[in-house]
Amino acid sequence: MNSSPLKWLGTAAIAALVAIPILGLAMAALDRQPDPITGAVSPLFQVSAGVGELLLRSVLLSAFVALGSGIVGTWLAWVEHRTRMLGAWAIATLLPLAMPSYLVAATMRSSLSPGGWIGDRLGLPHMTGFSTAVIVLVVVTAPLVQLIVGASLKNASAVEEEAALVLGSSPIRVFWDITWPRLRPAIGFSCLISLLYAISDFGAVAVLDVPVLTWRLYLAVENQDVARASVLGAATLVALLPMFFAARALRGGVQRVGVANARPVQPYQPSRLAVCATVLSVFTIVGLGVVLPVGTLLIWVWDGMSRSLEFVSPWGAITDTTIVALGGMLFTVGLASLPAYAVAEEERKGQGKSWVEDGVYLTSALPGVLLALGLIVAAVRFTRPFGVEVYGVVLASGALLMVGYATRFVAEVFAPLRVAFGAIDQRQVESARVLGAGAWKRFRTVLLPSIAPGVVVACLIGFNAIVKELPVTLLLGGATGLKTLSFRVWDRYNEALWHDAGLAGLWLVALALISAVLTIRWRKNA
Amino acid sequence: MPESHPLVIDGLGHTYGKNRALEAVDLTVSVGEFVSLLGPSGCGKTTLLRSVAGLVSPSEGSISIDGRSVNASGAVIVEASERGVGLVFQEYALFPYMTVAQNIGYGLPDSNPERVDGLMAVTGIADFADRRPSELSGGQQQRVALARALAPRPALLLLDEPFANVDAGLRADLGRMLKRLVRDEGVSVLMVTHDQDAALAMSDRVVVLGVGPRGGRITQDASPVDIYERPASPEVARLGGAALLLTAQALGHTATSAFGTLSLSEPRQGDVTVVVRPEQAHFSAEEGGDAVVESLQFHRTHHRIRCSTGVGEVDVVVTNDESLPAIGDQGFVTVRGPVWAFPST
Repeated sequence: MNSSPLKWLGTAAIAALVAIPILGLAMAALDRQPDPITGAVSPLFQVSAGVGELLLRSVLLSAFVALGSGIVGTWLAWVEHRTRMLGAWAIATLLPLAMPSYLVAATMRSSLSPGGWIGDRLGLPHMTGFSTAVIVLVVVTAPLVQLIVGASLKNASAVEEEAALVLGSSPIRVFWDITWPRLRPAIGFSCLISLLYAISDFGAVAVLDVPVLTWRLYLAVENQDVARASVLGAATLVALLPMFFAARALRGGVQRVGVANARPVQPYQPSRLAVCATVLSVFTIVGLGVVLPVGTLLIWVWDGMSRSLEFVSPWGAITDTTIVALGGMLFTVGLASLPAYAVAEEERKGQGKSWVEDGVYLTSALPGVLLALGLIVAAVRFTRPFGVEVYGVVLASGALLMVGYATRFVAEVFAPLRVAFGAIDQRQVESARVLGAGAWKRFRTVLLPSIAPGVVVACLIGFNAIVKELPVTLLLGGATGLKTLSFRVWDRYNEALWHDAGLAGLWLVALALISAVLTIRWRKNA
Repeated sequence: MPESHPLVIDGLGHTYGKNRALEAVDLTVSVGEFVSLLGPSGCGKTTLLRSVAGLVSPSEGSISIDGRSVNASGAVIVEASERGVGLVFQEYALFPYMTVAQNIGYGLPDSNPERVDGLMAVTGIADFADRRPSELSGGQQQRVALARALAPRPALLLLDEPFANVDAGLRADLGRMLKRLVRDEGVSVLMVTHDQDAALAMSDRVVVLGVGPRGGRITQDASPVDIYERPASPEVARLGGAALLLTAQALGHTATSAFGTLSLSEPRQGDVTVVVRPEQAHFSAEEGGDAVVESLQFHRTHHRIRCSTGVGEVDVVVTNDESLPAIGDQGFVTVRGPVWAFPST
């Protein structure tokens, strides 16, 4: 297969995904509309009032989250791969990955605040604001760090650590001299991913009412204050870009020498302090990230049933979620396949870091609210020559929603696809060719078995991400008439209809957990 | 006195799950001695080496290093970091973030640039002091690994398949350098290998670990010459190099076999298995003979031909001053000189 046209197509697709929302934002910023009554254009200082404070708070929130998740996630990764303490709990500590941040925030706020089923008993203060948002976001991002650092630890050959031990080093010196330098890029990269997650998060900060850029941006979009929204969007981009380039510099910076050795490291005997730290970490992550949300949702449903409240049937929302998630998944995976194949080919040829890959990660670094705003503005401007009804048709068709999902999650599905395409063994393809297999037979018998597990993992990751997604669904999905589970949870929670929010939330968690468990299973084959 | 030996292993046994890796291994390495542990993959030789280094905690038995008990009754007494042995890993295990000089100096308690410089000079890597391991060739990496292991002046050096990742052309050079270094440093060596050529060429003593029913046990502990010429079992005979094993009837210093009457290097009685090495066999071309030349290989100083005979295939060395048969030639295989025999099981 000639990769050159594919590379150009992939580059064009990614460039379009990056350019459209950013172009939309730029157009909104440059073309501020006059007030319909007074005819005056708001001066820039007026629409940008307080943005500096919001920016600072967003950056601080992200920094605290990155620090917290870096410490907890790295500790859990080390415990998982260098001791026998975690065992089956290792899977449990990863489960918060399947939980949407707004659900964790909503259930924590409801259950731990005064009046909640735990808050009342323990006399806790109101669980809202900055510090609660930090805790929620640490709980949902620490598993990301655990996964990335854990993969680095797992793939690391034990022999260098053993060599240092035999040369007389204590376990602590072995960690600092040998393990830490090897983990540093993975820790740095995963912390930056947490940082990007936190600065892009909308759900948790909205539920906990933390005045940060994304939450205020959403309110501006909802109030159709495009001028204010464009200034907030630009500020968000200013905060994001340095983090993005730092993450780019750190990505994949691990150096290896010698021959790979699969021999596992002899597990360390943990000290009492290490056992205490592990119990505390597991209790925090699993307790706040899984047990508390699911328990609270069950209590909401139970309460509604015991009070004979009427439940809205969840089947419509489940069907709509499945349709939206499957459609978005196929569109995103299809779109990501082109750059993934092109990058895998470049890697095979030994070429360096690719801007296609950078474009992929930049695309997904944009917060959902920001890219939804950019897409809305771009769609309004591009369809203006064809009449205002065309924009309505585009929005209602779901096309904008699919583009929004693809832009948001292209990086997540890109990674397993790139690995899958990179695993194609050209010698096997050539062997089949020499043995007389035609193009279709080569694809069916050699290529497909090789890439199928990775493609399935990419599909499952895409499905899982879309099921949990909130801001893009709220801003771009409303006009489609499809009411997804995340939409239902948000809507019913804001209406204080806890029983309905609980039922929709339980179904959402079930769908997310099923796809997450399937991802873990298929990942072993990929 | 066993305490004076760099290594004394007594009754060592180890089990991985349901697999018995080592069984009642007794082994002693004397001062300045170069001992090779030879055996096929899966015989437990790496487990033994890692047990000595302290990286595996054996289930049974005891280990003493330089007179100090480090393992007893399956319990670790001295941790790996305190044993003071040198270990060269098969994969070299160089620290990728350190320079060559930093790697070599890593195990030294105090910064000792003279020692590091000296080792770099004798191992021929002085020009690479500031390079990272990734900038070195495989042979250079191996020299760094060796210098790093020797830097703290261990009494015992452990080598895990040291030639496994080195090109055939470099092996001889590295082998000579290794022998010279360990002699100059006065260090005793325990080398694990499945390469019979390396084990026989370099060692003062070769210890063979068995597989199958004899898995994890020592099947012979002898000099390289004895391993080759007087193997304890058919398995050791094959491990020592190419060999034809023939059943024969022994009567004192002679035995009757399919190749006629053979002279035995030691007297035997009754059913025996004799070991015929390629250099002991001779092919004489003759139309109608029962041996047929099947293949022919050039080995610089000689040719090796493989003949099919009535008792199986036999390798024969044909020196360069002998006439070389062609593939398909017929003839007779005869055996020259005394051969080794052990009682048939």
